[in-house]
Amino acid sequence: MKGKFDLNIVSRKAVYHLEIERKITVIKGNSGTGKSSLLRLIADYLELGKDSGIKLSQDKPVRMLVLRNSSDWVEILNDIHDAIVFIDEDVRCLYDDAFQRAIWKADCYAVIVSRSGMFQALPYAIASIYELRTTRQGKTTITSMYELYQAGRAEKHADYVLTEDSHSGWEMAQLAFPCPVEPTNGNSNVLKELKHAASEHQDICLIVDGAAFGGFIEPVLQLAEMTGRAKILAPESFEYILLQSDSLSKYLTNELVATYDYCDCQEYISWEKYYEALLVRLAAEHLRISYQKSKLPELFKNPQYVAAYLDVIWNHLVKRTS
Amino acid sequence: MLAIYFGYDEDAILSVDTFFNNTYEDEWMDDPFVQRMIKAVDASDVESQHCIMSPVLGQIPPERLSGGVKALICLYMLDDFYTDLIVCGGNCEPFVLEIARQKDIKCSLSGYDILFQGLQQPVRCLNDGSIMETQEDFARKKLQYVGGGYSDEGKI
Repeated sequence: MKGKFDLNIVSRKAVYHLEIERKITVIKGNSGTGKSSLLRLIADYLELGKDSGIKLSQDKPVRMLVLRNSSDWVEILNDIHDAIVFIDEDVRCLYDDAFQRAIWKADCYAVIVSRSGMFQALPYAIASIYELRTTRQGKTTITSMYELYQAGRAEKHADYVLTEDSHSGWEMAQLAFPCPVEPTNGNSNVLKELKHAASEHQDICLIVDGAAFGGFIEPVLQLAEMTGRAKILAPESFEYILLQSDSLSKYLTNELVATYDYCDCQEYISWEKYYEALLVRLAAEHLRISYQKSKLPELFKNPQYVAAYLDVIWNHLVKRTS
Repeated sequence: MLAIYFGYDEDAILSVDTFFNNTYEDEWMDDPFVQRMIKAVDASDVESQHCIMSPVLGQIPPERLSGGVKALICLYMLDDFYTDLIVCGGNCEPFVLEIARQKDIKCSLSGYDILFQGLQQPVRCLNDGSIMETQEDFARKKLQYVGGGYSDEGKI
């Protein structure tokens, strides 16, 4: 399944507008913003169709379903194709590691309405974490999704760099930064390593893959804010940066802009994996090199690539949306 | 006082919506503190025991209140109501603390969004028995325990 889906769910007084473009979407935010009402409307529409009085418009056809505690999720996720699954916070399987891993393999998108911090087995993007905001137009309220985090421009200095990537991305960062650069060896170690680093360094730059760091961003950002010693830079992935280089971008059509039209969610659990596969293919076809995440090819160690890497990475500072 | 267990606890009620609908008493809607919470969190006015005026949904029964305010009402009205504070948004925080100043309550927390900004009352950490006195104490314990905290266990 691939694609971006625009959904409008319309009831007597409320209109909900959703844009779903990645495998996992997480909606959280304040109480009373309409999350439960949204799922209630979708469930009513799915049960009763037009008899519900609810109108659903989609820019392209996609099946929808609302998962319940009574649902046989194993069977559903095995058989599902081209569908969006909505899951509310009280569905217990959501917090089950086996369920989260089953989502990886399922041919569907999932919209999770929960503020839980227990989704570390779901590699979702920082950019796919939303809250709902409502505006009024006459007698109608319109509720839409807004990203909780946005990318900003960082001040270009650091006395210590941590990279989530322990392979090629770490190698590149070592070439790009004049200060010590250490890998955290995976997303689950980032919080621990940042805590340790903040006890010794004043100006830390933490580089993570934004396309799969959604489950970790909030505690890491809170620690960075609490210590006041770290900035978090989160491009989609290291390969995403390399794909933007002059030597490769000329072979792209729209893959980096409308990734949802290219990335099959069953084949790639996150856009990070898609960008890696795309880089492997383009590097082999056009640069005649074998790109492997485990070791940065000599070609990419060229100062031209290093400078381009730095240019991109400083523009991906994670900020809270006001 | 608020006592809080950081982490996912299966015993904590997550289906606050259904729980509230099957337990609440009509008289609860007459309570001024309940009305204040509904006004602050859902921006809605209690018109009567059976009718609440929502700016988005129009006239609604108490069953259509948000999960967050339902959790607050249950914490306030019931003894031994035990929920995970992930059911509450940040706009519920002041009321959780206000209820905890009036009575002892116990909750779990398996998410990061509760901050308790400007915390100025003791909160007991049930994971280790310690007392958290400030927002920073609270944040440090939360980061230590929620989602595996600083350890590698149970994560990919």
